[in-house]
Amino acid sequence: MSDTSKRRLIAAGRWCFGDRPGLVLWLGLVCWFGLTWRVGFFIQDTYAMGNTLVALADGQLHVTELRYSLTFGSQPGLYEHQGQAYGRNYGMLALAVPLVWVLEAGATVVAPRLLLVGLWSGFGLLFVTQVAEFDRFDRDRTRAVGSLLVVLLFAASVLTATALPINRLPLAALQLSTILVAATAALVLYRLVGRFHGRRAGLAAGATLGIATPVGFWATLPKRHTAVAALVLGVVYAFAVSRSREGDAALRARAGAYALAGYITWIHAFEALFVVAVLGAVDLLTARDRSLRALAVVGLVLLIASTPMLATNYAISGNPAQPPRLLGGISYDAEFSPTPAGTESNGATPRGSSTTPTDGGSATPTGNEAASGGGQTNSTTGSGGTATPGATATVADGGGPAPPPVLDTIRAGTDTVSTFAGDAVVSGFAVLTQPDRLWHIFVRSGAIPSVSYGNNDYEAIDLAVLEAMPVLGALVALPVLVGRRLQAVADRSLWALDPRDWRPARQTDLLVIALGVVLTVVYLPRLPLFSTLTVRYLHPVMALGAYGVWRVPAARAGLSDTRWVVGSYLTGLAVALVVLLGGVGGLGLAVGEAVQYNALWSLAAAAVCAVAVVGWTVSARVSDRVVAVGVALPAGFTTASLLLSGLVYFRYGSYAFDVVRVLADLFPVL
Amino acid sequence: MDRWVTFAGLLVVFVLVGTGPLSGVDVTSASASTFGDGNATVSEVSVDRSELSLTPGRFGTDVTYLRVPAASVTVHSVTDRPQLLYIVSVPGLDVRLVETQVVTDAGTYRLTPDDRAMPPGRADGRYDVVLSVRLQSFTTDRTVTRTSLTVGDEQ
Repeated sequence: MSDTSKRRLIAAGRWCFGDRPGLVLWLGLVCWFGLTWRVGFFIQDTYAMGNTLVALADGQLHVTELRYSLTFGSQPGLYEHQGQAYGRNYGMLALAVPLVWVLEAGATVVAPRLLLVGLWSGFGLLFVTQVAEFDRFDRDRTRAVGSLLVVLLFAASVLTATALPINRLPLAALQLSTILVAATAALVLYRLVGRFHGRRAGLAAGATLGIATPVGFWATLPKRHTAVAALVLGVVYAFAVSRSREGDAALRARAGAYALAGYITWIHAFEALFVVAVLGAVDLLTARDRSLRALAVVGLVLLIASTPMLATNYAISGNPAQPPRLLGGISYDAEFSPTPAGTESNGATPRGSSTTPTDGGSATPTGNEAASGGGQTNSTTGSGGTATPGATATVADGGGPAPPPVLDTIRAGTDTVSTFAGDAVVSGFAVLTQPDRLWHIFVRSGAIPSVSYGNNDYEAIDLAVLEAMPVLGALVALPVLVGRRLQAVADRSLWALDPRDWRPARQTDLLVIALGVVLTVVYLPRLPLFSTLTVRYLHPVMALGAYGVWRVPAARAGLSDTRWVVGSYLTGLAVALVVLLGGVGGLGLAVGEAVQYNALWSLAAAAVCAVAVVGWTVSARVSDRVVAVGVALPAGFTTASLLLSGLVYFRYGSYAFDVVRVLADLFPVL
Repeated sequence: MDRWVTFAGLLVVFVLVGTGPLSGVDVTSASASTFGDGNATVSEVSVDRSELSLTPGRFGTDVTYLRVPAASVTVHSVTDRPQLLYIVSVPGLDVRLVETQVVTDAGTYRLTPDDRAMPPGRADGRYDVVLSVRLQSFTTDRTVTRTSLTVGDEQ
């Protein structure tokens, strides 16, 4: 490799990963997510996603074959327009298309199962080479031991390998794409927190996201949440960069934030709408440059970033403002046959389709999602039948291939936006007056009265926010910190009133809080809901929560002694594994009981975390080491639940790496 | 690049290509749930009947669980890939649990169906239960054992 190309490669690597620890974090998390990766269908929506991806990789927007199917008939997440079936979340599927091509090309020389094993080993070897460069380790020895370990895992996986049908590769590509995106989310958080508090805090934050939050749970479950969470973190990071730079560099970063927010429209227009609105508001409030030029640049970038979404909508329904989600759903019992590529749709009209978005669906063994995503209906009962005003209007008049007049399009678009946005916000705030409901959403799940568990065979597997991410217990210190700051402001008028004069970290806090509040409130009307497992509708908010945890001074103070932190975490993980596996093995728990048993332990860990962090904040007698244990304990418990979710609680599909299957067989069964 | 890493990388690539479609050497085995032709002799089936119960869910689950015992099935003279089925049937509750296990070697296999949750109040009587173990393949299908018992409270 010539010097110039090597320099370019290093420069590109720096641009992507920041520095070596960033790269190590990313590679390490890819390997970690791979550990519990199962090629299969956990949530019923994935069938439609997989089939849409198969079509997309073949250059078609409409579903051309039902490669993946549980039963005959339609699948939740398919929508009908002029006799053809379309999927949704195209922006997310687009990320997986190159991976489909790569895997299918690779499968011409390597058996599909071994292709995945080879990929995992490749990531493992890269990880080893990068870790070996750290001063802390002996380079040669690390490389030797690391390579040997990778070769052993590889050999074990090859010797136990089971056949993976080649037609599963698009599904594997879809899962691989969310694995990579989830690791990228952690990388972005590393760079974001590292920017304000240095590398150590950044690494802690990035690692937290990967091993101590539901991001690890959803990394291999190809739903939109992982992608949206990563993009939201990306928006915040770009915003943070723009606040600490000057001139064109600041404008570039600012445009980057809008570009990422605009891309979300292609995945989920409803969520994107709120991200863009909040970003716009906080940006205008805190930007030093409010010139017409700057506004024109960010506006144009937002438009360009939304173009894929507009183009997709236009190609599907002829109306750029109508995402597939607002087309008529294909009812669950419809006799349904997809249209093969290159043929007319005659005779392939799904019978029983309707223009009413339906919440079809029945139970799958582990989880079925009927009413998925926001902006489809405002019903949480999963009954369907509520005609959505915006949808019916546009379906009725915007169906033809001729483009509607621009004004109509804009009017239809704003109607849709105001209907959904207005409804979501108003009913969201109404939920804030219902303490019982908030308790079940945020603190303790158990058997939640309003949730129809029948869809999940009556298993209480849906957690509350704090149960799913107990490290959020650290945020209990926030009122104390806010109170202190207000006191300081009142005493010495320290705080500049104009947000434009705030420090970049405070301006970023403002964006994070605004995003967190808005993205929570708009989903409250739909929560609590079955099959959300870790309250996945709040996934991006929980990712932002990880930022919040490491903005708390107490949590960072605990990092002063690295060995102690790592030791506390590993001890916490070991304790968690012992009590959780002990429960599963000794108490003879069923699935729902095991998940709730785990949840109670998580809550206990969250309480310890809250006490330690608040203690450090209000008293000088609580040492850094105590707070380190306090934060490491819930992290250890969450890692254990991620592992057990992968190896014990939920079984489906086939483990991507058979060595893990052999390992999982050693664990007690529910 | 260090020689260790290079060596490991080359080994991985060599194995991948050497076992791929080009070489015709297939090292992957059928997945654990694939069954086919074949037969086996079942010498012993043991089920701990006392574990069969209807009890309330714990840890805030607010359901009634039909808890079913595991079945240990000892087989020998296995040919090809037949499968064992352990079926727990409770007609009164409209419950039928089926646990399958493909057998490839002689030995004792443990079949553990998941407990079944039911909303509170649905299962408050006494119900007949049939536990049966079957051996099945493309060429054979026979019931090995069939046990009738009851579960639940006397009303």
